[in-house]
Amino acid sequence: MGDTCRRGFTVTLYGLQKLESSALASLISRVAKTIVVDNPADGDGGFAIFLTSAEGFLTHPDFFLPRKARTVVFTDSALELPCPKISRGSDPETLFSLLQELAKPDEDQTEEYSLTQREKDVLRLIATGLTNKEIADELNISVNTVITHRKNVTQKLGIRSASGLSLYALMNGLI
Amino acid sequence: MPIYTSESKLCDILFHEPDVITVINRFGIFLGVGEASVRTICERHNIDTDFFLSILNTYLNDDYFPENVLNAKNVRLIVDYLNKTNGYYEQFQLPNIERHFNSLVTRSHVEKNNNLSLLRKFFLEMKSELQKNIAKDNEVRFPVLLKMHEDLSSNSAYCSRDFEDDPQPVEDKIDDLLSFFIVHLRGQYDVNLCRAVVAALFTLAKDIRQNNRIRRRILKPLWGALVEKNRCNG
Repeated sequence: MGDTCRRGFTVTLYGLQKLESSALASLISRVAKTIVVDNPADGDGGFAIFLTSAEGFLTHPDFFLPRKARTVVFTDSALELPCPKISRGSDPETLFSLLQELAKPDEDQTEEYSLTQREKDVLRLIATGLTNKEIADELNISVNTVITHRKNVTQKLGIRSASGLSLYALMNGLI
Repeated sequence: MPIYTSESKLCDILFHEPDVITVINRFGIFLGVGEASVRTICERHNIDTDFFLSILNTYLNDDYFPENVLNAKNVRLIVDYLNKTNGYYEQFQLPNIERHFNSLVTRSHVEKNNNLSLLRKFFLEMKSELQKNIAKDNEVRFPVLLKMHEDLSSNSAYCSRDFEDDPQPVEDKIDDLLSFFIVHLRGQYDVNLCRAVVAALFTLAKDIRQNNRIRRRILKPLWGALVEKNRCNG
């Protein structure tokens, strides 16, 4: 579990029953930071793994489907879902292994990592509709620096339009 | 890239450049062209040969800058050509891509690949932008151009208008969509339908890029010349 702790990822719990949520939060806090949220979007900062119920998943499919590669559904139901499920009776080690597995950047996600952290910050703010000036103010950098980051992002991803960049950010779980 | 002349055989051009089939269709020429020269076929269809060659060579060749495009008789011809081009996008290419896209999303099952639904949404945005451009052609650009052409002798109210044409966002969005498919596509999908969508998008992207060249090198100078003439006459 040491490796997992060093990764410093966050597990966001959403849509679980209160008692279940507290018990899981306490258990998972041994290996990762946990937060419990009322709205899944509130727990999407940094590199977050989502742990939710089947109902939680189905209530916000628009949110969870693009993030299915880092979502675990805590359920005993036989419902087919596009992401890993873990049953209520599973032992903690199985849960920890699954979370650890999801926290690893897999091949499908490596592309996102070709952007620097600053470029990802700029991309995330472009995706929320901010202008270059607003992004510069938000990140405390000059407009010229924002333009340079923006050019680099465009060049690396091969995507030029603002709506295309927003779509990329959504598809890759950056927003 | 060769520059085609009035003596070039149209069938030879089509063998080398099959994309030109859509261009000749817009002039009312269809396949089964025989072995006649461009001049003979243009005369047979009552088409101005010089104008036809200007369009053809500009469409095919990025380095070609047409001469003598500022002839007033070209105004109606270019408007007619671009109207047919717009009609082709609206009636054939966009519905064709949308049909393939819908099948791709349905056959690939949204639970296995939600990204395709997002890409379809992005395509619909691009489509709407292209349709807005076409509406602007129909409601503003083409009527103003024709009015300026007809009102050369009067003091036209349109002479101060600048040519407003901004096709770049549509070109950018189609290129982005192609990047999403070619570079960033993830998950499971129907391979054949995906190839059909990508092939249709490539065809549309190329046609739009080449016709935007025609707009920049023929339509825009014509517009400028008419504005100038109106100013002189006014």
